[in-house]
Amino acid sequence: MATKTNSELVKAILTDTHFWVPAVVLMFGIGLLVVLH
Amino acid sequence: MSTSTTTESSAGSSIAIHRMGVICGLAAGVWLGAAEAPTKLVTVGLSPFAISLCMVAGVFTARWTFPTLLKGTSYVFTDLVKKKHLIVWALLAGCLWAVANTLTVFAIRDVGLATAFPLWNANSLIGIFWGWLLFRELEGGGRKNALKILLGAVIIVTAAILLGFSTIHGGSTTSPHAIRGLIAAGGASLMWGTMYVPYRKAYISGMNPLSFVTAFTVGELGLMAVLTFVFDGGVHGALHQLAINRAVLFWLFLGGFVWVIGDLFQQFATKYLGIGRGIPLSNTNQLWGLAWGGLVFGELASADTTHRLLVLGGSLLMLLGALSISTAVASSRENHSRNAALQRECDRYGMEYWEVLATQSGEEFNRKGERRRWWDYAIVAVALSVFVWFGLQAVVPSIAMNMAWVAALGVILVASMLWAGFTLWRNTRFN
Repeated sequence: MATKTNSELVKAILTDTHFWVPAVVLMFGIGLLVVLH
Repeated sequence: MSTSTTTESSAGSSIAIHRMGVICGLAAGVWLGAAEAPTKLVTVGLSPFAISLCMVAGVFTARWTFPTLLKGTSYVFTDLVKKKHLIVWALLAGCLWAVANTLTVFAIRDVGLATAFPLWNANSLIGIFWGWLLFRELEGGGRKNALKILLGAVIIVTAAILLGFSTIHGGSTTSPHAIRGLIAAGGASLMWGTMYVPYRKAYISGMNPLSFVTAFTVGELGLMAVLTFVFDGGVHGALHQLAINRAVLFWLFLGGFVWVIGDLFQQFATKYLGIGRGIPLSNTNQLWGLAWGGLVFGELASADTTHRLLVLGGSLLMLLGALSISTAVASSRENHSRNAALQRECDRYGMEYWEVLATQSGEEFNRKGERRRWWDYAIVAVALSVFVWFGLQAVVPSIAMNMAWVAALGVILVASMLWAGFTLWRNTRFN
């Protein structure tokens, strides 16, 4: 398996559902903190 | 060696790994249950953001104490560079933890530790859901497993309703901000349940928990600093608030320290048992949270019988629900799913399948990198000095505590750490 370059890794991360699910939940959590504050 | 001997040896090894994972999960429960207790000592003067920032700073500092002696910095940074894409998930997990922890501070203030704890422990349900959706865990597990999960989910939701009801209709103990506290506890549950997505990602790729925790603590400290500075009136306002309340900062740092130990055990449990079994086991922390809240701080002392029964019944139900879900994982499907998930990671991020499998079983990249250097000891000394410095300025607040129970629970804490730590060291040398 060929090692990926940094730009290939970034592209792989940004197209990975495993990245976006926690990222969106995190944004929701920050929003919740704003409301509760 | 004959085939039967090989099979017996493999089965024995599998049982040993399972047993080690269970011990780590139970130890994680004891330590994570105690981690919130020190925050009870901070009753005035600090905003929830400042409280959370101090805990996170404690977590960050604690990571560089004894864990540095388990694996030196050379090992950790080599591991991180080898799988650098996982640094993104470790940072994300740290950010999720920081937000979840801040939400728990709101929850503890508004509904108390004994009630809030079981509510955010519904994270097991969320963790299982993401495991099923994103990693195809439990796929094809059969009708029996589906029923166990459905039953567990219904029990957990029932328990959450019971606990919420006990708080809102708790008679004289009702908080004026009970609804806000319940929403905060629910939000913490969502954050912590989702945090297992990065955890799962790291372990199927063979990353060592200590390496993961290193980047994790950077993410949580960074986000928590930003949130505190934004919500607490800028850098100057936040630092001023911390400076005038430095007598209580030690307790928050202590909470962070306790949490790091619990999380390391939790990560080893997740690594060896998977999310399906690992989370419910470490979620026994709610019983320890209840013990600290009820026995040490007397949270339920003024509650009537109905309120107490609702809290105890809700806590018990929550554990039963988690237990039902944890027994639903079919091992053959689990292995199949794990291999498929691992193959996906290798294809996407350019890792060697067999190399990752080797690191999962403890055959690491460079044994020489595990040697501790002089700067490792220097880092440990500096980190411990920070704790000592805060400890010397610490003042025990005038809050009613049952010291006999503090001592008893403290002994259990130390005993569980020695038991799990020795088991891990004997079997894996912390690989």
